[in-house]
Amino acid sequence: MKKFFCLICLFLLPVFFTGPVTAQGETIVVGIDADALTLDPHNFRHRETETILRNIYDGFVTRTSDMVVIPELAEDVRQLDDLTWEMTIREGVKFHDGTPFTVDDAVYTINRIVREGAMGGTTSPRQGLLGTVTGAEAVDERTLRVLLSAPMPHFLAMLPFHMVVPESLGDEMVDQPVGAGPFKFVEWEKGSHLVMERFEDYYGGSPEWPPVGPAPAERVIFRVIPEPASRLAALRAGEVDIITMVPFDYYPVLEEDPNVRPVAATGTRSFFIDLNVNEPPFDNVLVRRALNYAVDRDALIEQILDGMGTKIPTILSPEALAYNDLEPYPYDPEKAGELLAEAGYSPDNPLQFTLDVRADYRVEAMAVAHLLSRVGIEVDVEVWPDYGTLSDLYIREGTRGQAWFDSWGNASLDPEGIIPAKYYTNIVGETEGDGRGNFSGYSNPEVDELIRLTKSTFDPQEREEAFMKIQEIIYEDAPQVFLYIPQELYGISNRLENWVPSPDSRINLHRADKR
Amino acid sequence: MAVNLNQFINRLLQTIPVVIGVTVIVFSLMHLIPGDPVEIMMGEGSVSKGEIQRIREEFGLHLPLPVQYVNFFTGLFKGDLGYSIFYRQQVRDVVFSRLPATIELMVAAMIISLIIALPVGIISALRRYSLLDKVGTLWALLGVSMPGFWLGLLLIMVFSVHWIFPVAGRIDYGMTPRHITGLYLLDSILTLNGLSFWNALKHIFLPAVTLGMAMGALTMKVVRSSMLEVIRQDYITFARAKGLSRPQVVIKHALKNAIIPTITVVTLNMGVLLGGNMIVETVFGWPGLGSLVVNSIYNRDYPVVQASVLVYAVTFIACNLLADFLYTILNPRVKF
Repeated sequence: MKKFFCLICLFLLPVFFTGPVTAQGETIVVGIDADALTLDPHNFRHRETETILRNIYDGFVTRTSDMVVIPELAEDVRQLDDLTWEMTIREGVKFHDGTPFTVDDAVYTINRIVREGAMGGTTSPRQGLLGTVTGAEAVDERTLRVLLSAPMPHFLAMLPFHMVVPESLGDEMVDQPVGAGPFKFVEWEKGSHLVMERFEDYYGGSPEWPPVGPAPAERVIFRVIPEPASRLAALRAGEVDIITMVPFDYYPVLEEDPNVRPVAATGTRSFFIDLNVNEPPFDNVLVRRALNYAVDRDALIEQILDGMGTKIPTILSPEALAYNDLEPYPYDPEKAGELLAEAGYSPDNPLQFTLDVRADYRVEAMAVAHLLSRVGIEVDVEVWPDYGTLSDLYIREGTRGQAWFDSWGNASLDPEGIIPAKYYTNIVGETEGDGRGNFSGYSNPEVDELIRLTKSTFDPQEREEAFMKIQEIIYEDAPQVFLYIPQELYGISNRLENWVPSPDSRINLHRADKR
Repeated sequence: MAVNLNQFINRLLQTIPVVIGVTVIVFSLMHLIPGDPVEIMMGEGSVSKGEIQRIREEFGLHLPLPVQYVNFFTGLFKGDLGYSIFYRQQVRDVVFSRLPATIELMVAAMIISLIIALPVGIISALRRYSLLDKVGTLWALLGVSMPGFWLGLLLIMVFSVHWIFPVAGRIDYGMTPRHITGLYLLDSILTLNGLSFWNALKHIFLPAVTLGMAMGALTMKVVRSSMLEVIRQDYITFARAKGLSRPQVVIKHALKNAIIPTITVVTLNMGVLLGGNMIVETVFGWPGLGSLVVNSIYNRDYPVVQASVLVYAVTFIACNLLADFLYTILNPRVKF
């Protein structure tokens, strides 16, 4: 027995004296919470997959970390008319297999995304991210035309979501992805890690976002670590350089550790309470405004988000295009009381209502209810199983409740992604197109007119002004209690340079480097 | 060998309604959980209902539940486990690609637990109430009481952040041995790749200890109590009286008999390990079937969950059958 133990110990000895497992040399390791679903850049709707693949594939255009859209594989994108956009592709670009990027690849990419059954018999789930685009055709060696069935003024805002693929590979790209991005695919061990290496013949990336050239990092590894505490441990142990989806309460730990630090970016999901504006008590604008004054947003952000959130004056993110820098409703319980009194409420006749919420957000809704109770408003929180049930009820008058605590994600940060959906008149309970998120039953002809203008105008200035005006109107009309946008927290190694998170959650490692 | 073929076939046939019952229950429960997989995948609100409906139809989610179940069940006979909503590929490819990682972890957990449990159990029995016995008893209590996720995180904090064991994954990039079985330790040995072996061993050590802890504690108790029972038998006293040395008595006579219930418990526990590995795999980022199931439940990826649970059910039943079978081989007095 003793001899057996000795043998085991000798056998295991080297294990205990080999060095710590750290990312080697110029390898940047990202600890992510979920694996990529696929290597096909057109066959998913999943944030982590997009984050990973966008380092392998470049798009026609891209977004900087300040969310500005800049040219990438397309040198120029211009609108010809309501239903046609034209792109000029960049010259001198190679795919990872050495083949040149041509206009045929660009046309193939668009058609693969938007046409029914174009992906080996199935339709791309990203079709909706190209709105009303019906296809593309080559005009000459460097120009292609993108054809639409209806005007799409936010075409440029949606274009960064799409990755350019070579026509020659066809659907084989599922197993061996070939893109034109700064890193080329090396290996994918599902559920564990995905490895990519610097593409030495990279054209350099967008000239409008220096430095231009091949990536400084030799290798990038995305490591799947589902458990947040394990991700944190991996960062602190030096095994990974960036971690995502960090819970807010890890902020102090990240701050205290001398080898790492926390960084945050404003998210893209707005939180609010939809108020039924067609039935009591919220058919009275005084009551709606009173509620906006009665919620202590700072307390909410401090307690629920550990301080990692931004108050919003209406529904748009501060990072969004055409954001109107209005002052968010301040916490003013006296003002709220005055407005409620004017509306006929009093301590003997307090405002009472039911606040619907889905299970995921029940904590936040209960926090709001508690804060409102402090100013004499009685709220009954009703928890529902999922979004689908509530959206079916709230889209229609007659079944609509009184108030619904919810959120709306707008990853493009273009107001087209949120304002028409939430504010366009929707009497018949339409579940697609404009008004599909109009759960408050809001209807204002002036706002409708402005929304139509944003869809029809060629002039970006006019479009922006229209959106600004819409925000002023809804601020006054207050069909929602406007709340906050949570930030997203990341942890990074202090050895990492030239990388900041962006609001669209992309982890773009083209320019990142390690000391 | 006291195995009656008819009875064996009977036992096999009895498992069929059990498997069917398990799949029906899981199928029903998954669909009772709120949340729609397509909405989760596409992100609610930002996608039109029409698009969601189109994708639901693509996956047959618009069909009545009994029809969906029958499609799933009839597909099984063709080896078709369905199509994953999230991964957009055949479920059997998704599930079976993750199986080797789980098998390797389970076997490693079992080996580690036995390496500790057997000697400790034997010595505790032979030296009852000694210090080792008391330590062993304490370990048994802690082993079954400590939740896997807590122990795992504790081990990570102590041994990974401040020492040399990796936090997550099966192996470092560039170290994967040539594929033969998919079990990295075995493949490293078969391909004589020492570096891969050590790297894989470092990665598997902490998760295997975490997973094997509870099983090891239970096994130790079983070994101890069976040894205690056996060494009190007359034939053991007789063997000592004959002049046989202590090791000879313990290993050749006592252990051979005491090991029977131990093997039964270990075999049965292999099925239980399947459940425990979901937590351990998630904590350690181990890319096995357990973490796949957890992720698929969050995503409401019904086909993957159903197929995985089917794999678990079949494995559990097979382990039970194997345990009974082994028992009859080891103890000829018992018929199958």
